[in-house]
Amino acid sequence: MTQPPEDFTDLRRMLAWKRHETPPPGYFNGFSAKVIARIEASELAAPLPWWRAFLAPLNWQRGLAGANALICVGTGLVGVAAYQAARSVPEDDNAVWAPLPLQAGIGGHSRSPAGLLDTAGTTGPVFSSDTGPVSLAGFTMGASSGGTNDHMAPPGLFSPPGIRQLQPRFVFSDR
Amino acid sequence: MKEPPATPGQPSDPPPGAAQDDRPLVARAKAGDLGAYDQLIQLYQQRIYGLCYHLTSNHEDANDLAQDAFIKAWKALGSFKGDSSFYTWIYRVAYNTCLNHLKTRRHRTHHISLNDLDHNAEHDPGLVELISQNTPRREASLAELQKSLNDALLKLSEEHRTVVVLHDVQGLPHDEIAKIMGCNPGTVRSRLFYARQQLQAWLSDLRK
Repeated sequence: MTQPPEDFTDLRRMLAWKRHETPPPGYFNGFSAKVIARIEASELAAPLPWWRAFLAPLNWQRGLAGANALICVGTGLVGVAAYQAARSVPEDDNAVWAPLPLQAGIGGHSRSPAGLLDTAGTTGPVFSSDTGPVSLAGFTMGASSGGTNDHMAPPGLFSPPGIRQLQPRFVFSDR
Repeated sequence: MKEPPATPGQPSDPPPGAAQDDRPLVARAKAGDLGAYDQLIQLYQQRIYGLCYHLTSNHEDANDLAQDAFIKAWKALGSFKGDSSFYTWIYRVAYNTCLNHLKTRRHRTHHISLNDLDHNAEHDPGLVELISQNTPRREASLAELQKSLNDALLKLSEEHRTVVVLHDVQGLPHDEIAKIMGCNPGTVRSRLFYARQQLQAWLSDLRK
């Protein structure tokens, strides 16, 4: 090399000479048309998904996008509030969640599980209103302690909120 | 240092009033006007093609990459905020497109497909002077010189080659190159110095 290492004048001249490397004459005449054709073909081949088509105008109008977002959030909040209102349990005495200990038996009679199966000589259950209400919520196998909340089922597990339960009262009669 | 002579009408010339004049076109293109985008393509096609060509040394690859870059830019036009000029932004899109292509191509055999030299090349006074001074062996024809130069460029890493192409071939300033490559101007300068050193060493045989 005849130049000092930091003198790149000749090298830069050579590199600048690369500007003379040009594509065939007329190459650029149809270049943009090809690009536009490819863009149009790709847009025709792959139409926008519905959610992008829906959101497309929002890219250009920020105010509209904000308003839409506000409406969406408001609708969501109203929905949640309505759901919470529907979930709340009415304060009347018909919704019973108290557990029913197994040892207490159905209808207040103390019977063993085997005794429950022994229905010979009975005429079947008779509805009565003098005993406590029955709820399946407390009917858990292996329950032993009576009157405590150990066997309390989670609210809503057996009794969907907002649905009024029937309150059958069973009395086993010895008649 | 004496600047290399500029060749009139070549891609290295700054686009005439590009940064100012392309704003209405960009706004219309962003609104979906393909006609406006067509005009933008025509404004920058030579420079974008030139970048792709000088980075790949292959006309067919450059053709595909330049088209891909403009298509990607169209699809991403909504994300163009105008923080930089459209000119810089489209360059960045093209640079990233080329970089992805070169990285995937790294382990494959590269086929060189050089463009012909235009008629101005043989009459470039700078080049004629250079050859007459430094190339006593006149058999080192222009075609040989062209091939050697491209071979040497391809030996550089993508980042170093890009800096050389953008600065020494296309004539962009350091700041602009830094924006395109996403680095700071100091990095551009150091890469440029290193790349020139490498090229000078590799091309020394040709010019003995």
